[in-house]
Amino acid sequence: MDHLGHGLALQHPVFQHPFKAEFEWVEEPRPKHYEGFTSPLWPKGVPATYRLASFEIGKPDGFNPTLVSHEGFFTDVPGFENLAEGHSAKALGSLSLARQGKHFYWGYSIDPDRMTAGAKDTLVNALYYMHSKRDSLTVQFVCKTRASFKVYTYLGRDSEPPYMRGVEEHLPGSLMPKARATYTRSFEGAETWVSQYLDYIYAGKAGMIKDKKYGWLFDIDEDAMKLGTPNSSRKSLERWIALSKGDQAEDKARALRCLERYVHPKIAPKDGNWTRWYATYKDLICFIDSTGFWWQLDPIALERSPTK
Amino acid sequence: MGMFLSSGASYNRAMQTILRVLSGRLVACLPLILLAGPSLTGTLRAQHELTVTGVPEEAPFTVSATADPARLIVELQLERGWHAYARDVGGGDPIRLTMTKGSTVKRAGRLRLPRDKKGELSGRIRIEQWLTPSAGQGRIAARLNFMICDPMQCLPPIELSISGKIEPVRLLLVVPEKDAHAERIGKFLGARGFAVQTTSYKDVTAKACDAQDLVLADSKLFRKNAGASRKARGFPRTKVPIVAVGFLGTQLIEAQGLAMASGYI
Repeated sequence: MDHLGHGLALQHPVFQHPFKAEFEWVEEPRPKHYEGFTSPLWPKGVPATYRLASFEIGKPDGFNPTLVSHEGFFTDVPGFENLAEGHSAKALGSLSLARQGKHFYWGYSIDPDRMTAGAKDTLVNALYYMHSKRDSLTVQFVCKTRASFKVYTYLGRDSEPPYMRGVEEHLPGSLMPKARATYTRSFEGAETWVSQYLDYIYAGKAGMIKDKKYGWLFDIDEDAMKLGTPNSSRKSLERWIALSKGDQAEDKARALRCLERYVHPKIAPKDGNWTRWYATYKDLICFIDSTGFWWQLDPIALERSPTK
Repeated sequence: MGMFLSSGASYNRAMQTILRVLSGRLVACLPLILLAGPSLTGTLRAQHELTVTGVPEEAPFTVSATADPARLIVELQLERGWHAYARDVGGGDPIRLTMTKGSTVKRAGRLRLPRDKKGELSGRIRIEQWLTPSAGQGRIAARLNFMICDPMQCLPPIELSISGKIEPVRLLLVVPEKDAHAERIGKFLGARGFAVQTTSYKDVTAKACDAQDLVLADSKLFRKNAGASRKARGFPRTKVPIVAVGFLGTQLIEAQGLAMASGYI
């Protein structure tokens, strides 16, 4: 990444208070490797010509790094704030300004000799903004999200020659050994696998493998697939609860396994009364992939004050 | 005299509400969602309480005010059945804030009030005024005018005086090397309402971080950090917020196991 940023969330306080940040903008044609893709800050994709804000005076003599949201590492955490993307040679969705809980990432130089006026005001605003986040909740990362698998379907596909390590090595390397048999090592194979299994994969659970290179390996949830219940959807949770009270023995057993697999034991009912549990927790829980594929307390539910 | 409530108190009330809903079971859940754990009695240390005078006897509200170099926050808590006005809707005078003699800080932008379609505000009302931060200790002096009404009557116009010191936000700047680059950053932030202390990745401790209000962990460009990379990976877990910069910032964030980390693909 260089000295530029795009997709800025300009209404966010870090661009507004106490200083209204005014940037110098340059217009550029959309890079070829952004075509056809979306990101948290470009949900409809980047237009043919787009604006970039200067955070530093001229290109740096080296590289600024970015946080790589396109790999699906953390953007599923409620309350996570994407505030700007970097001008990245790698892919769309490389965050240069972002916040989660008490941590803020600033991807540019903070040397006053290098910062533009807009960057100076934004940095000061970000510091005051973070000053008010002492009691915010930072969520611990456990594993990549399922979104990381989507990246393999396109990363380097149009390069000459195509970048094959993603589909040949990294995607299958991220799966539990048994699950690798469901996958064909090609871009087409990655597309098919993602469309078939993405809603039913999980990682980070006790008894699963944590690989030195790929982290927690992913498995396919056969129970959730048999029931036709994507594992992160609220409708699925409600269906599992309904099935857990039913008299279809096989479905009941699958539903109970799903509840045990995805409702964090710290909030799961001790008496097995899932209906009563759900009535209590319904508005306080969310599903997060990156904390280990759990229904858990919503981090921002704890941040809400009566005035918000 | 109005009653003083800190921001920490309002946080605690939110927590107590949730704790009640969860019938005490939340305590067991906290390790699941908290990394360093928010202090349940935590307060914004640089958000200093201010003195509020002029509250009428037996007024159906309480009020508190706090400020840091960039923001004044006034919280009004109206008793049930009473309301104030966010704008002129033909009822009573809307809430108005004016800086008065002796104030060393200036307003930055308009007064911010909760949104309400009818222009009426009730219950807890958070009034926010951004300020233009400046170097060193300052003093704020302001006047808050408003009216409150119930369905039958309006009380006479109310004028409160708000005053007190504004202390700089204490910021720990952590740098790869204490050099001219670090000095420039410290000077820049010092002029904008921060009391900056500088240390290096080599010397930084959790205690030094938590003695401040905020940590700013700087970095130079990729591969230009003179061995600070390993230190960034071992950066202390802090209670205070961290703004992590550049390459060392990604290493710090990743090493602290946050759900905001770069990685391998």
